[in-house]
Amino acid sequence: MITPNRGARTQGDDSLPLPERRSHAVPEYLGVLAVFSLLVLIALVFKQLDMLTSAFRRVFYLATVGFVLHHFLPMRQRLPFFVLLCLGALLLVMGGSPDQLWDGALALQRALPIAAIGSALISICVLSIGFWKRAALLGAAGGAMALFRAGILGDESLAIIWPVLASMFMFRLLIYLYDVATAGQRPRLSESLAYFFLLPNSCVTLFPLIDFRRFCRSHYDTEALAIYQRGLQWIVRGVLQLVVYRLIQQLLALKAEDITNGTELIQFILANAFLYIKVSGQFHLIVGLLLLFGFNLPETNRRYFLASSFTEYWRRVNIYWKDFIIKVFYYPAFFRLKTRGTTLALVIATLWSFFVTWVLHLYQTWWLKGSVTFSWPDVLFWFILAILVLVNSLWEMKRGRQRKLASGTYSVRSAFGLTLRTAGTFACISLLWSLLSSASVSEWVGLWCYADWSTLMWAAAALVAIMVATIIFEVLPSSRQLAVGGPERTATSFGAMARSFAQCAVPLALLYVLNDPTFQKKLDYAPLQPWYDALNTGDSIVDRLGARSRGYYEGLMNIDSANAQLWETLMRERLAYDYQGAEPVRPVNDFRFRELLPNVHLEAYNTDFQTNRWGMRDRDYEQAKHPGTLRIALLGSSHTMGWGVPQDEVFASIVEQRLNVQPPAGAEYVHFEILNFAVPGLSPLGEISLLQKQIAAFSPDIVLLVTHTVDYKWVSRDLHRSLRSRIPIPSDVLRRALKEARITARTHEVLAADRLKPHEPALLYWCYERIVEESRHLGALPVAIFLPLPDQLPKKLSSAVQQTTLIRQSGLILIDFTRLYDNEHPADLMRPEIWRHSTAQAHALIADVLYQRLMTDPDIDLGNRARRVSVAAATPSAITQP
Amino acid sequence: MIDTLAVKQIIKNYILSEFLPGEDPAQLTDYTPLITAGILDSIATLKFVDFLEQHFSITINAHETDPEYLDTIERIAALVHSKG
Repeated sequence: MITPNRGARTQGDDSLPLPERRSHAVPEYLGVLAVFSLLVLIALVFKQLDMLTSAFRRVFYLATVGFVLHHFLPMRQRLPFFVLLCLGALLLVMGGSPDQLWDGALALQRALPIAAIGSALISICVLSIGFWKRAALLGAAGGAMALFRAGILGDESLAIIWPVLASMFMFRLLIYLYDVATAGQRPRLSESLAYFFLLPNSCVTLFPLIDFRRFCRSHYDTEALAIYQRGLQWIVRGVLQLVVYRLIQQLLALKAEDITNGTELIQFILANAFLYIKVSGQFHLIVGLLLLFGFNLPETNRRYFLASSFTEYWRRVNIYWKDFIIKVFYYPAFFRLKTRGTTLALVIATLWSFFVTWVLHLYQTWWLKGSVTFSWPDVLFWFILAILVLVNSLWEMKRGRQRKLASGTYSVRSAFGLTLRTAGTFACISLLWSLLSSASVSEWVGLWCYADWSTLMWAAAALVAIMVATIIFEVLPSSRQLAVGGPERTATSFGAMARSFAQCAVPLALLYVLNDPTFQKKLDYAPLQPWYDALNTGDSIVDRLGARSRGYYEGLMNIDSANAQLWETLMRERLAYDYQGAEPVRPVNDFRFRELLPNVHLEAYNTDFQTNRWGMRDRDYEQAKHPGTLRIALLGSSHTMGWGVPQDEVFASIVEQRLNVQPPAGAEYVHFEILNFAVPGLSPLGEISLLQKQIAAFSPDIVLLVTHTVDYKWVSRDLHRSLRSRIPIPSDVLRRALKEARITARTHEVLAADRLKPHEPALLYWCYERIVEESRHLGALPVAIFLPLPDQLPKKLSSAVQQTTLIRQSGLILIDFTRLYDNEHPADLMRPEIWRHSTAQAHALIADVLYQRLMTDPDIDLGNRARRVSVAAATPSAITQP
Repeated sequence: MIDTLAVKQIIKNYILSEFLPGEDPAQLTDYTPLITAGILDSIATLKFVDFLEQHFSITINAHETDPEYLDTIERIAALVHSKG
């Protein structure tokens, strides 16, 4: 099917006679050099803006070198070379590992099954048996693979191959089978391999749905330089669209639950309408890359936000998908039904096409993410869009649609009508996208309580902007060129090439400069900071598990913990494993951000996990302290709570039991209680809130804070998070730090952490001081255990020294565990499957040393303190504090 | 059998009158892309196929709506001839 060279063009390739190369055309070597230099510039921009995944960037480098070699090969060798390059890219990506640059054995272990299974699927399609027999065989093979994808069969270590294989075969196999069946001739092996193992597909799972016939037919169907030039333009357009997406995502996008007023409502609606630009950008990059290897493919998206009707929106938003649905489902349905009447056939074929689209989106989600959730906003989105497109189709069938062939045919009246229709379509589509981006229909309906005059004003402004954009991008260009476009005839003269080169190079160079730290330092104005921040928020740091927006494509394109192995391979980083499972917490609106649910009983990290009626992972206690009880309130995070350690083996439980069995001398009638108030992720900032809101009622005698080196980071993390959660900031010290670091609610947490770093000691010190104040206010002795984790020392020794100094200076009595693990093996003390958590053995060690310190530390003076409690118990008036 | 030129002229006349009223006929050549340029969208293609079937008394299959067969007047004429 592929035309190997111009001299052997097949029937059907007659419509685009090849332009003759003119004498003033750019020599090929010069054109290729220009393309190569621009590809290098694009690679620099990718790197500097931290765009896409590490795997994509490496495939791009491979493609850049491969492009030059490919071009200078004889035409008949280009396609086999492209196949080799695709398989090379598969090996390159599959060997990606967080631990080393490239792992050859791992690459083979993963790539070989993908190649073998893929080849088997292709073979089924070209078997010399009937269409339905082939389809049944493919169905059976798909069913077997689904068992592997669901984890019912197979080895977890090869989990990565299923989403990659699915992204290559789940749809293209349908088109391929259809085309092979209707073409009546078997395609060449190299065509088939090239089509399925397409170069960037091994590192991008959401891939444009390329048509097999068009893929084959388009191969070098016009001058090579013209194809490359167009490919470059699309890659640059893709880069710019991804940058626009980044700006919208970082500066405008909101989650529905974050909306508090009418302006934010319209911000939510508009931002979500434009977020699809990420898909468009990625598709432009992918197809642009394929053009560099001679596949003269059409556009994937065409200014879809300027569609003037719903049918036009459907035709513009994802052109390849629309072509697939029309070819494989719509036309066959219509042709089968047309004898029963055109209108009926049209209605059923349209509804059938949208139903299939919805089902195939669920099917796609399942293969790529490994799970799928039914959602009413999703159903309603496709249903409403189907009805709108159907009504529009019936109208067009009856009344026709204005099409244009020649230039300059827009009258003022028709241009105004076009802008109005475009604005109306945009408004409806934006509302539909906002529905799709809501968690539920009721949440979406509930949003409208915020609608006010500002919503209306901003909506009107947005629609006027769309009308202006319609005039600029749709009406005015029609006066200069063919309004209906078609394959752009890209000239290869010196002038045209230079213009095209400049059109690509200038925006890339500008982007590079704008994102350059030196430039940003020179143009260092506070109002520009959010823009710099938005640009600097690279794809490797962007929220993967808590993005600022929610929608079908956002969910599909974010590779998260559901695809951990794929994520680690593509990003070449270790994924931080948070607790997976039912979270025994609920949100609170103060610096704790969340608290443990009371009376929970579940299993976490293969360990029994229970909370008492007060929401502590501890045995039950009365709130009022019994006479003769010395009560210690223990503050800390998940380590202190004991993730992965049975409750009676957590150090707090061991120490409590030991104090009661072996109390200090002279305190044998005193009862000791250690109340474990620790909550996962709690920072010293949250511990202040904990003291104020929860601990005060328990009248502790000692407040025992467990603090780690991570508390530096956690205080700045929670300070930034408080801005997002609109929690009032109680101190000038904290406010000043935020102001000096130019942190706003929208600053990405990684950038915020980076800029708050110089302020961390002051912030942590402020927290320690407040904990001392609050403890004294409760009449309790403030004590802090400085507890580094076994694997942190001696790397963090200087930080430990600084932190212990801060603790002492703040007035906390320090129990310093810096040298706790000196004679231990860190590997014995950490649970590798839980990030930064100790084993029961480590808890026993902590308990042992803590007990000794409590018994002997003169500042804590537990013996005397216990004796005082014992004496007070004998005096009824001094039993407990209120 | 109708000769190729006549077939092309019939097809051209239909496209101009049905889908491109008021447009300059000279702009529509035998090689003007129809599907890939958006003149024959899905609805127009259905109408056009109906016209071809009625006018030339031929049957067109669903897979023959592909640009490979219908993207230019040249290709459409070839399709009509192949059915004839």
